Amino acid sequence: MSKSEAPYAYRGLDRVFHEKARLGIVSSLIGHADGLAFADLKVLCDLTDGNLSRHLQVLQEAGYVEIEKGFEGKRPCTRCRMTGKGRVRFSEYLGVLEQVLRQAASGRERGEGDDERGTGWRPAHR
Amino acid sequence: MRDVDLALSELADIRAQLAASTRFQGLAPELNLLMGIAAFVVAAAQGFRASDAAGFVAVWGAVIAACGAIAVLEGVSRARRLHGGMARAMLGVALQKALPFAVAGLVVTWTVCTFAMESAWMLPGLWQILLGLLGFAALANLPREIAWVAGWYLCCGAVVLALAGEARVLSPWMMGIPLGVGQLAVAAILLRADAEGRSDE
Repeated sequence: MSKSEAPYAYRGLDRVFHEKARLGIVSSLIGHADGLAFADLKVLCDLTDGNLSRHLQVLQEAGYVEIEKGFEGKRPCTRCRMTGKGRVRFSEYLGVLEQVLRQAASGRERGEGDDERGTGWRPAHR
Repeated sequence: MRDVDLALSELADIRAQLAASTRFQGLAPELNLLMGIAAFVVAAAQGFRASDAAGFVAVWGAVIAACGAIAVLEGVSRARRLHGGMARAMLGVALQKALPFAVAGLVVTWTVCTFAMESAWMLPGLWQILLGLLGFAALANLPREIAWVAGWYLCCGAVVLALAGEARVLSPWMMGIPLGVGQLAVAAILLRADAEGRSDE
């Protein structure tokens, strides 16, 4: 079956982003061109050190996030930043989410129309 | 508002936020390099031929307009190529930032040339100040070092206004040096940023 014959396949829904914690990380990072400190990201996403490191590693391996280890004053500081590639892919991911929502909405409208005409699916007990 | 519409509007907000903080890649370093060289060449050529204020404004107005038009055409094609699915949003952000300054430049130039040609000595300084302000306004979408170029244009604008105000004479180098040095610096900054961007991916 070709892509055009499977409109609900959502092949562009990138699994790297499509995970709750990673979606939170990426959503936190997109508004910060200079990135965020690991400690800030941990608080914003409510993740433990280990969990955040694991998810960041997945994003880094995909080339969506870059991690810089440096110093802020005398304290070591790890900064995480979205790469250009990550931003383009995330924009495409948002496009697929919009497509999902539009298809769901049009499906629901068709269903409502059917109900008004007295046809279509109805639950057994109301 | 239905849940779906609310979700779609939230996604649009996220997309706008993403575009607002993403580096605009529509500016080609090579084009800015050519603009810088063109500024020096035009200034040198104008130095050989004395021209009045109207001639000065016509020549430099045409140089800026030509550079702007080429930058827009190149910017659209580069943005489509490099930003992929984000191109439309990025071009929207760039237009939103640049249009007010382009319109202000056009209005100021037209007003001075139509109603107060004797004040044409102010135009080079004002153009440079507008370029500086445009640089600062677009900082979120450009490499951070562009702030130095924006500062350069702002300082040059003030100095050129002071010099031209004192002598009431327009020298071609009042545009040639600020524009030439400024655009060469922009080209160098963009080249460096492009090289860093390529190493990220």
